[in-house]
Amino acid sequence: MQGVEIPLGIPVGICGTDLVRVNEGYRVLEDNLRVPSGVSYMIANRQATKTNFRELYRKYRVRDVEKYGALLYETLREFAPSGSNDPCIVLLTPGVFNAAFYEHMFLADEIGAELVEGRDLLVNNGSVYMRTTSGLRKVDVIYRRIDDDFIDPLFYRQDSVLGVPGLMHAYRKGNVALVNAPGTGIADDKSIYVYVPDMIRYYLSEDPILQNVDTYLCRKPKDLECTLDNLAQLVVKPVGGSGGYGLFIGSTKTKKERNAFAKKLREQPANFIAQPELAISRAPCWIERNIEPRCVDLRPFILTGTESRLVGGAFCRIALPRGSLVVNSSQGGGAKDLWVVKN
Amino acid sequence: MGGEKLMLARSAQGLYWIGRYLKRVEHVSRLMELQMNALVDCSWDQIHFGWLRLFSHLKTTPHSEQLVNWEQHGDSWGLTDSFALADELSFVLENKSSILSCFTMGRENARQMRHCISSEMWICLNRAYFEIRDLSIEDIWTKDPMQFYANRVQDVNTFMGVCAATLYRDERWEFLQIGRLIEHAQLMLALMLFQNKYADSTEFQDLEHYDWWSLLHCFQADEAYQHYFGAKIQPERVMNMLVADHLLPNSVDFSLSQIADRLAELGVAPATRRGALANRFIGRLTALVRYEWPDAENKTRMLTLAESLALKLHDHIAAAWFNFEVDDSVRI
Repeated sequence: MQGVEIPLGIPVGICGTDLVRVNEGYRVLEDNLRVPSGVSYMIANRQATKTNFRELYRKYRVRDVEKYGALLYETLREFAPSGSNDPCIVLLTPGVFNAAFYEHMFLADEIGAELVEGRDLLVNNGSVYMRTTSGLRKVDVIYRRIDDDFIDPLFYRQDSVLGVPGLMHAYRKGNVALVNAPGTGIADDKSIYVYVPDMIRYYLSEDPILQNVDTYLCRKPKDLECTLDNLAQLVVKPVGGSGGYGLFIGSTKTKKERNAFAKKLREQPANFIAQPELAISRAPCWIERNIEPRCVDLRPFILTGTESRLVGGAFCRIALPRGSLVVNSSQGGGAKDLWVVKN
Repeated sequence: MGGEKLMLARSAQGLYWIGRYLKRVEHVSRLMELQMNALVDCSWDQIHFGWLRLFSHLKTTPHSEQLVNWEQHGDSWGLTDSFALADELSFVLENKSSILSCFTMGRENARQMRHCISSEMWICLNRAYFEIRDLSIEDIWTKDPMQFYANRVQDVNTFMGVCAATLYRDERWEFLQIGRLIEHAQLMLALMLFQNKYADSTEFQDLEHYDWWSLLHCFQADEAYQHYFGAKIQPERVMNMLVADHLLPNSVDFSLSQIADRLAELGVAPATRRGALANRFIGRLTALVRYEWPDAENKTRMLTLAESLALKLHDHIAAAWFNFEVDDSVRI
């Protein structure tokens, strides 16, 4: 995005970093910097816990996660281009058929923003307006829950009916803030992930507190060879993938399947990374009237405006099938309430 | 409280249509209950008239292939067809006036507007929808069809009661009410038009007393009628009451005056010209029903004119508040 001045100079206002705990401690599994989702489940799980385990909950001094809405509002407000104290903030959703629509509605409610679809917005004289029953209202901040490809048919995909024609024009003129900024996907691409610790050292002159998972970049010939030699012990991921789609877990495949996949890897090595199959920590879960261990990961949501904010909790995902490592809700994963207890 | 909270035009439209769909559920259910009652002890003519009235004023025709007499006797719908005709207006989703179809559409609008309605409203509507979603005409036909339709009226009344108790009295309330009231006015005008057309018809001479009385009962006007006019049914009086009695909550006049009040509450529309037109139309309609109706000799002509104005009123409201042109609209 050359020549575009990003509000506050911060492209990622809302970050959902996936963490796992292995024998050596916590590891960053991936960063979600485009439109991270799941925060509503964190709050809904907490509300369910408070309803069903009242006495147990009362005994512990659990940190509050329900103030997330207030923190999100504060953060979004800071992105307003005009510096207004009372900016018009909207949440842009693809609509009711999107799998995360519940979350969009929930968050819009939490932050007191209007839940808009592309058809509710229009661009006029380089500014974005929403159609209200009182007329056209200028919009200052858009918390967009639509992927880059779809937000502006004049700029990205022409066949998109979800976006707002001319939105990028208004954005480039600095008349509206988009959170997160378009293009942030480049930073959570899995082939960039390997370099994030180096970026932290270079840009911040600090050492990362949380380490990454060891990763082979298959586009490097040496890493590709290592991957091919150890395919049975590795998890191979498409670099642009998300939602747990396209994962190849070597230990669960037959030799024939591994050979077929190796051929695909050789043909397009740059499209894949490989990581060792992790011994992810497990938590007791209530499964079909029994308590059984299941793999879990954590997604804390980090909000960054003029300062960084986060609640004392995270969206905790569980892999529901026994022995599974895939926690993604799109792959049938479940969720738990995570407690961060005060000292 | 003074806090400025604007409402999306699409949200207003969604609430407006929730009001319309649920009013239609109530209206159809009331008439279906009446028709189920007719099936028990009324003449073939009365049954036929009831079906004809239902389908004609809803401006719909049956899709059902199960109709026996439809092909053979033109529009002679009788007892043998009643099962299929009841299904048509109860559970056939292709029929846009069926109870299930209207419930489905009302709920779909509510699903998209959940952030605009109270959670109690959503629960209430959802519960009502799931109660009938998997039912079929076979499930109700041999049990107690009248109770089924009475329960649907109850569902809508409960929903409206929950709205009244929980919905913030801003534009959300106004648009929900406007939708409900316009639907009621349009349906009542269409019903009265049909009724008036057949009032003098020799084809249905024997029905007169029963049918006018049943309509009074259906729209909760029977007790008031008896109180003021006694037990003798006079068609003209019944029609005057259902159209122009401003004290009767189900009359056309009552709905129109409520719409005028609601539009006044909304104030200036984003498309000011169309908003002004909507206000003029409601003024014309109210004047027509309140001041011209009592002396009008040709009631059919009056009803036809009023029905056409009510249809146009919807168009003006939609153009003024929901689908306004950008060039015409106010910028805030």
